[in-house]
Amino acid sequence: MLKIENLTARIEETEILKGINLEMGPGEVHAIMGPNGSGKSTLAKVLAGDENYEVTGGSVHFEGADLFEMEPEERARAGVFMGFQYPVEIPGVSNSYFLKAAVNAAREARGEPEIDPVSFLKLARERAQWVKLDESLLNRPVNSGFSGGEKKRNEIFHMAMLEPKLGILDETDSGLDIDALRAVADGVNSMRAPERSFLIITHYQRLLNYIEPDHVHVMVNGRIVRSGGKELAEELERSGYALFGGEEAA
Amino acid sequence: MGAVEELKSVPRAVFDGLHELGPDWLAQRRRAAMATFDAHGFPTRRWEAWKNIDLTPVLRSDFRPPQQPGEVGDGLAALERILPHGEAPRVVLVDGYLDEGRSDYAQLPAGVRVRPLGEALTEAGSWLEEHLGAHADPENSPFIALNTALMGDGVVIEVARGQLVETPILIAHYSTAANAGHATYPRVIVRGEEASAVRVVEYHAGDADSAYLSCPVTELIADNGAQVDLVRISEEGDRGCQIGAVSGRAARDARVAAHSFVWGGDKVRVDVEASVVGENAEGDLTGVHLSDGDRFVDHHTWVHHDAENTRSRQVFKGVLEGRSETVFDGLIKVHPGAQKTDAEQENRNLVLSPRALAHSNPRLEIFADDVRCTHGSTVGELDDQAIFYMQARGIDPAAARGLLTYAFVAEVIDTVRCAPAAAYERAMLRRFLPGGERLEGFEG
Repeated sequence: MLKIENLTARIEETEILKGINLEMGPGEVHAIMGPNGSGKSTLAKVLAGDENYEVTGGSVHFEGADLFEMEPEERARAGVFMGFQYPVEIPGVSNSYFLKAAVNAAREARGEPEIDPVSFLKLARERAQWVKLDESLLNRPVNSGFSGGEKKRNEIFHMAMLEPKLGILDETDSGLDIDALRAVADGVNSMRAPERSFLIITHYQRLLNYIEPDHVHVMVNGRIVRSGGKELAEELERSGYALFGGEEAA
Repeated sequence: MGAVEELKSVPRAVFDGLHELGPDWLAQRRRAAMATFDAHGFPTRRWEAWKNIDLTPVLRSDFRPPQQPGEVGDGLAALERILPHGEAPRVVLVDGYLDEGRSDYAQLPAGVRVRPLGEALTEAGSWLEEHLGAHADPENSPFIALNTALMGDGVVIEVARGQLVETPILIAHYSTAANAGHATYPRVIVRGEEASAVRVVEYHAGDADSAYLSCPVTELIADNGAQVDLVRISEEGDRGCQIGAVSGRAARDARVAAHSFVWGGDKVRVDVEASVVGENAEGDLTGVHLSDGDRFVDHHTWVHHDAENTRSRQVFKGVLEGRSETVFDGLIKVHPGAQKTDAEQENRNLVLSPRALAHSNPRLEIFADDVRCTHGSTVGELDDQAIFYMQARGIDPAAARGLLTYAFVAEVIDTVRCAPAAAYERAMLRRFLPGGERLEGFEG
């Protein structure tokens, strides 16, 4: 599914990723945990194609294809979804129009016809329920005036509509109250499938109480310093990142 | 400067050659306006309100209308899309002359009168004496002065007390090739009597290859509790210039609104003034300018609050491509005693080309202490974050840019209170944007 080999990247002159290796199989849920500044969000942005980050070495293959040969929109259409840590507000563009455009872009890439409006609406209503997203938010401009929790639910709702092969969630849990956290987790769990993988990037273990990972990786200072099973997350919760050379305790 | 000084004798000669000045009160007003023009002449770049516009192509005019109107051809095909024949009364002026054949205002909704200016002026004791030329002030602009002095054919719309006119009234001004090198001074005046409501759509267009000058002036008068809405679409020919003005006045509990949408022409400037002079009155000015190539588009606004508890809103947005240049210059003036004024002004510009230039100049003059006035002005590019966000959802960047730009402008168009005119503006916007045809149905 996803194979990251010796990936290095920087923003301006600062080297942030210093050699990442990670392999994910279909249907697997991987969590990357790490302290602030460890580079975990940078990894998400590099995978999505944010051009503020420069890839300086290594490779990433998604289903055998070189991810860095693809534009951000091509990655999305191929089935890579990134849930943003800070979802962007888009004034004047309704959430449903935006999603229809996104869904149709993916369908067009697969050689399928545009989704008909009735099916789209039916699907949108159903999937919005997965994350208990208020239906009125479908007709509001994307993320404009949404609360923090609504924005994150909306990200998961987008993911549910786009049905990606790989969902990357960049600190989706940050700033969420317990209800929103559960709603987000329910959304992800509804989507778990043998052919669909998730990469969950988080500072804290709490989201992993609801979305059970198959693998947990600890990232510190631009490198993955330890990998293990879900018990590693619990260990981190107790001992903090200091154990791994991180600058702070959890 | 010297050349511009000499040029002012050209309109004077046109004025001196006029045979018909109308009733005495109007003749006096024309002479006074001409004297005002004589005193100041044409604007130079030293005039604060005219410093950004290069009037060279305007000043090449002989400042007189052509002897007779030229051929329109299919130049007014757009009217069928804005308000189709039979669905709304229409008055068409070609090269400044009333075109009876293209006009259709025999059948009018109850309570509304639509007449050619010349005919209305023959009526003794008309309200025109009180209002025509009383609101658009020749001191504000030499081109208002010229229109007042030289106005030819025009349209007079009046709505009787308490009448709510649901059907919009369409007025078209078209400049043909015959107007090349010439100038026209069409005049429109709309009066809504007490508690009436009316909507007027003005369409301004012209021959694509002719360098003409159009100097239209429209006055809007909303009596107590009346609502007068003007939607003004300018789609001038590529070499055409329009220096136009709208002046509105709202009495107690009344609302006057003017919306100006501009794409096209060589130089287009629209001066919009609203005076809210009665308690609880409202002025609403909105505008869109799209500019590309070497075009110049200018919206100047003046909002005067001269009574207590008055409100005004100004929202103008611009999108610039190519080497084009735009100006928004907007004033909120709260006169002494106009307490509890609530005034907003917003001007946002999207500059899509590195060679395009947007000027934005908000102005506030406040002579009352218990008021709320807000203004915001930005000149910027599309939000890279938003484009990346859309890309990351699979939308290609060109489409993302188009969508963001469309949405940026549509926020203003959505407030236009005449659905077919708004739909026409959206269609123009889609034509303006690369790949815009894909945005059809955006609203749905």
